[in-house]
Amino acid sequence: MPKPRQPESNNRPSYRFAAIVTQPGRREAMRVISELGLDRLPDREGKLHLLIAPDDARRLLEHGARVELLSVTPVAPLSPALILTDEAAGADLERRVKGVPRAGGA
Amino acid sequence: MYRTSAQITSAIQILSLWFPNFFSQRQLPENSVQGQAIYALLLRAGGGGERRAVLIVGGTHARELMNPDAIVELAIDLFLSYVNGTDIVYGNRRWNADDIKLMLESLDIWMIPCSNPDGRDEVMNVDSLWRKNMRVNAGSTCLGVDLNRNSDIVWGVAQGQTSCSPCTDIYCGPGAFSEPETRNVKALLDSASVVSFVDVHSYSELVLYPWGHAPTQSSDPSQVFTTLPTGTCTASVPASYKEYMPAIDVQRFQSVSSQIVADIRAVRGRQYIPETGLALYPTTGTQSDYAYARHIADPKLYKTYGFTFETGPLADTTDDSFHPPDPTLIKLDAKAGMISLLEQSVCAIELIGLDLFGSGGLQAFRRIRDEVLASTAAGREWVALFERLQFRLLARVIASRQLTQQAKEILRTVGGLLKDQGQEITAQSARHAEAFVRELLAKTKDAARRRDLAKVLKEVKRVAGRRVEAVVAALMGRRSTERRVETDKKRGSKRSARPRPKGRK
Repeated sequence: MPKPRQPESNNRPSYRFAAIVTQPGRREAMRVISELGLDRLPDREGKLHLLIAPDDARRLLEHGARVELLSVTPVAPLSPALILTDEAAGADLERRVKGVPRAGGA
Repeated sequence: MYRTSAQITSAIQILSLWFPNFFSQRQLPENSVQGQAIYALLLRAGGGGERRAVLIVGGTHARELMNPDAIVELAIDLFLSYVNGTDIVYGNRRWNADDIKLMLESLDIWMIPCSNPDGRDEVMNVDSLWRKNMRVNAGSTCLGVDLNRNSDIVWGVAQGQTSCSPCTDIYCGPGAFSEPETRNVKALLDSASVVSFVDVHSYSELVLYPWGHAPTQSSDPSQVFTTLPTGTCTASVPASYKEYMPAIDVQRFQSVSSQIVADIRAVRGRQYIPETGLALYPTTGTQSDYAYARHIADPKLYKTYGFTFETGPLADTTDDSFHPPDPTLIKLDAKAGMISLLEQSVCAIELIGLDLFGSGGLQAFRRIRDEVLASTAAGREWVALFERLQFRLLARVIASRQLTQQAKEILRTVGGLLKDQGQEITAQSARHAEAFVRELLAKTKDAARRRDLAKVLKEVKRVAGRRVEAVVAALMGRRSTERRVETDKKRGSKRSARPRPKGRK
């Protein structure tokens, strides 16, 4: 597994917020979100759910939006506990196809 | 636990090496922007040449980690079902081995499990919520292009969730198909006869279908995306604009997505929602809209029904929504949805009729479906009924030599009648068709299918002595000329002898 490395881009935030835009009205809020090119998260209840950097939060406020911050996530690699090791990935494949004859009898 | 992009590539290579009669890998024409080779996996069993194909793509958005794993695992599940003759069971949904065999022997199943390996590496090594590819954007310190905004369908129209700013997560890139990762998907669509396409994303438990840029309408074919300006970087689709889609395609998108939703629900009760892309939020340049739009922009291209899945629910945190600590159950839902799409991509008439007529001869059947039956609501209902029934009964027909022969005989007769529409359907042909439907009815227990078959039987009983044109007209809810003549005869010669008012034909 490759070693974690630091972000190279100067523009990458150090953390992000999950947020919901609550005001102004829906149509105007959608226009502002679209104008700012913000990353709208799917929300089957139709809420204006966003994943934004601190600077995006500032820009939203400057455009008259009201924003509810739900959670904060640092910009960091995926937890290594969630990543299969190469050994585990190989063993998983072996386990799944165990007993099926292979080409060349391997 | 999630596989790295290298482990996914390795799985593709190992499966192709170990089981070459079933899996083959294809290195896609272009490497990623960081130079990684990207692979597709082809699954097929049995012989024959090129078939109708299904293309399944995962990992377009880097942080949506579950789906590339689900696609690899689905490939293995299909293989094991085929070689061991075992059913596939996901929760409470079971596909029997015969049905899986039929899918694998009649389709070319293409998978690109991880179309954006650079992005996946970025998620695992730098930024767990990275979405785009790793393009170094000229004139900007911001990285990446959103690969699901980069296709050539109303590209660069910055409305809703599409942006021309490289620093956003929804950046459409400097041009349509500017990215090698999207060109790879296009290359596969160009090279295979892809009838169904799905781009598997997360999250929100949705099954999306076109359109994403405007509401859909079926009445004005002149409102078509090829007339819209592209690359404007503004919201240039007029508010009153509605994109055309033939009613028969609207019906197919709705019926296929409803069945996908039903199959997912059967696993463990999760209720996915089928809707247009626009219902989620406005977008342009998406892969699934592009897949469907191709045949409209260029009628020489194969018609592909394009879907986007959004797998998994909203969790407590954004991280857990995109990559939950244990995605096992969500992957079952996703795999059930993909098998449902495969199942609905098999065409019974093509499968049974190809050796009778060749692909050219099947055109007459397609024309009746797409140009004649599709033109009325009643006709479309018959198309929907046939599509509901066909796969469910196909394995039964294929498994029986007698039923297969009967089906071929019926198709041969219908093929002849379509060539010469003046011919009447003989009593003997009608009896054969009736016997076939009765046989299927006797073998069918499911109440809904029995109702559909009974409806077919009722029509089949009436076909003797009639011309195909009259039968089709009846299915469309129209009175044919033939029936009008018969009615006139019954009413007596006095009325038919009456002079017609001027102007009536």
